[in-house]
Amino acid sequence: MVRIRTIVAMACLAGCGTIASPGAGDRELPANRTGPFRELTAAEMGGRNCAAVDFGGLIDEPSALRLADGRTALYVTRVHDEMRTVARLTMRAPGQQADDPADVLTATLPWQGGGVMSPDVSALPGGGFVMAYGTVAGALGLARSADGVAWQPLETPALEAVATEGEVSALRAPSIVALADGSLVLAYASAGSIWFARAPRVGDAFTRVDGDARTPRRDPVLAASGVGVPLDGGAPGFESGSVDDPELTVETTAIGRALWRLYYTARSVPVAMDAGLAPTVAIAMAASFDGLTFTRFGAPVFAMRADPTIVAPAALADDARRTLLYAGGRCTLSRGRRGVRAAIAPGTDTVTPLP
Amino acid sequence: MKKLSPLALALTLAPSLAAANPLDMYGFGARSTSLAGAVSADVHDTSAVYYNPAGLARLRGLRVDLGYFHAEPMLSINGRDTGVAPSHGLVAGIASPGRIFGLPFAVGIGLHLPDDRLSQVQAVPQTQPRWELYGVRLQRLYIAAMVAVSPFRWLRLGGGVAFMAATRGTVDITGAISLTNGSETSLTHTVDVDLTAVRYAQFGAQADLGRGVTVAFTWRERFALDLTIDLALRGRIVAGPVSDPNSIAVPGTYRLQSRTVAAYQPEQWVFGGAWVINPRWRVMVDLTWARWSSYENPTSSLRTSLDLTLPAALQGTVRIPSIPPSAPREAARFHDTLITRVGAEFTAPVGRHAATVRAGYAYDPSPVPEQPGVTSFVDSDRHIFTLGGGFALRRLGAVFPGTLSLDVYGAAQVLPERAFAKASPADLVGDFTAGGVVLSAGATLGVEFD
Repeated sequence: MVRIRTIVAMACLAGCGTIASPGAGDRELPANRTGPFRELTAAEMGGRNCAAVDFGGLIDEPSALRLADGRTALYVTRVHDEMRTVARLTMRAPGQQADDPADVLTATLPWQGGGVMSPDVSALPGGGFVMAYGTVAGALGLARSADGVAWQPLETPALEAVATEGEVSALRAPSIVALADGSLVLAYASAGSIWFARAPRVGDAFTRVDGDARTPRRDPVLAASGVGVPLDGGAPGFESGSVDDPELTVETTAIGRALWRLYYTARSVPVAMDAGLAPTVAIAMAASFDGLTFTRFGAPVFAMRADPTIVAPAALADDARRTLLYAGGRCTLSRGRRGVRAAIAPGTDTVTPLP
Repeated sequence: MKKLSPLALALTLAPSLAAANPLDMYGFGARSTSLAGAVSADVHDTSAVYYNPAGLARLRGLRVDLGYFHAEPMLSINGRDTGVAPSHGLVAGIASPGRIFGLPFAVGIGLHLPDDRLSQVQAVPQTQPRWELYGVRLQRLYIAAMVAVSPFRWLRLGGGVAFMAATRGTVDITGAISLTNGSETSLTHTVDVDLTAVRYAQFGAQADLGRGVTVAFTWRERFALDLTIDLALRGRIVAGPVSDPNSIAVPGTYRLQSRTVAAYQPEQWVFGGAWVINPRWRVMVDLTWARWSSYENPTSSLRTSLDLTLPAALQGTVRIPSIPPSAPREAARFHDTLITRVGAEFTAPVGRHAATVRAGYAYDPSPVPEQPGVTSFVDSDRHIFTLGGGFALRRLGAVFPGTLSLDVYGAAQVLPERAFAKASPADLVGDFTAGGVVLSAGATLGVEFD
């Protein structure tokens, strides 16, 4: 009887111990995952479709810069009053509603051709900021700023197209990175490919980089993949037509290696669509450990069937989350106006809109 | 076969818990765990069901153990906590000795019962970083039944089986899908889920060599728990009124078969020894060879097929798209490990009762190889430090004719930070580091009747 009582008492103790509690463990573990990206929903953006819209004109080609106070500055091409200018907006968090655009750079020099566009801004290691921008005339320029708001353009262009260097069309969509030693790396698009140039510091002349020293000509760092490869189920490859709008980032990986990531707009050769022939458009990514030999991820990191006009990615690292800001349509109720949209990776994350 | 509702199936399929072996990772019973599990040659309680069933033959009377454990992982990737779920629940055992054909004989049952869920399955893409041996894999039920016999005074043999349930489910959806009028779409579904028992064996032996020295051997069988789901969608895609025989109808079948390894325990060979130096001191050591090399990629494998029969009017004008093949699963390439465990126990008599202090250490190298490719299985070597103690009340007279013991322990698994480098710079996950600490504690109340 004593044995039975003891066993019953221990069984009662066992019953008291089995109180369930909510579990976890079904979340994606944080890592520097940089795709595939998921577009933020309107609910995650406070009921809006786009992070930035200009009702007085059109904004395009965003570049993003994290500010010291935690906000994000957006530099965009602004088209208004038949002018192309560079405008600045700020948002409290990546992808959240930005304030109204304000012009920070306009064409004032003859070689700019009357318009500036496609800005990209990088913080300099010694303080201050440098902006690379495109011009209506097809040259690339630099501007300097102490606070990121007031910009002073350099008097001479940073680069002008040279056909014998493979640049058989206007130079456009620059992306600039200031390395820790103060030197600059400039990525830009021309002739459907992406090219690099380097300069020791702001104001020095840029030297063009040959993407493949084994060939007698100068090669781009990244070119279209060609019609034949890769094939997507019989259709031309997603980057078989051209690569454009480079966004260059350089970061140090968790184990101390330098990692160069190049986000870009990838277009296929024209394919049959509802309204005729047109290329497919996607955001893609290639990366390198040496800043010269880039490996393609091999698939789009972001694509939208509902909006085939997405272009010009800008990437922000935010702890374990990456935010992709890009130009796209469907911003207004009529869904016609373009603006700056946002996507995040990992896509399993959710964003709580700021009040 | 049990018929379950779609909700039940959804719960079955939803990310919920699976398993490596929680007992391998967190131990079983306070005394054995506080000795870092180095007890295959010197196990005194019902934890013998797991550590070495031969030890059950040492019992002198009916024994019941009941305890609770809690393990709190604090594991990080790139310095950020990964929120790996804690494990906690009951451990219990009952064993009864007797004699068979004049030989000492014992039967024992052991139970490890998480109080969150009995089992959970999580199937994630192979590209997603995951702590492969922690989290959901450590929250599962363990129940085992063992027998032991002592054919000679110096030899004890034991063996038995442990149980798990494998899941096999089928989902059949049939009906018509209207392209032109959604309200005419009519689909019916049937869900069957089979829970089939999986048994895996365990054997052990202990031999006394004299002078207080005992050597032991334990073998645990490999087991893998499959989760298999078959989905079949059979019906017609109709353009026009569904009931109109003149509408264009495309009959077809879409099949999907998914298989996931939801839980896994490697085959294990344990060789141990214990030395009772004197009535106060005893030391023990275990070496465990774990055959992780047979571990397969736990990522869900998918097979899909689409069979559409185009009516003659559409043939030549409509092309049936091909289904892209599933991404190939990269081999896991885990490697075998040799786990070293040592423990020491000091017992001080307190009148007719006894107080005990225990300590242990184990080195458990990670079976997870470098991860340069698409998989990101995360793990690191484990240094396990344990400390515990107990108090045994003996001969309590008519109130309790036996021994009442309370044992407690605390353990720390230290996982030094490990760096993982990716071969391709375009890998979306990229290089990462991983490490952390897992703290655990528990207590066991045991009674052994004279």
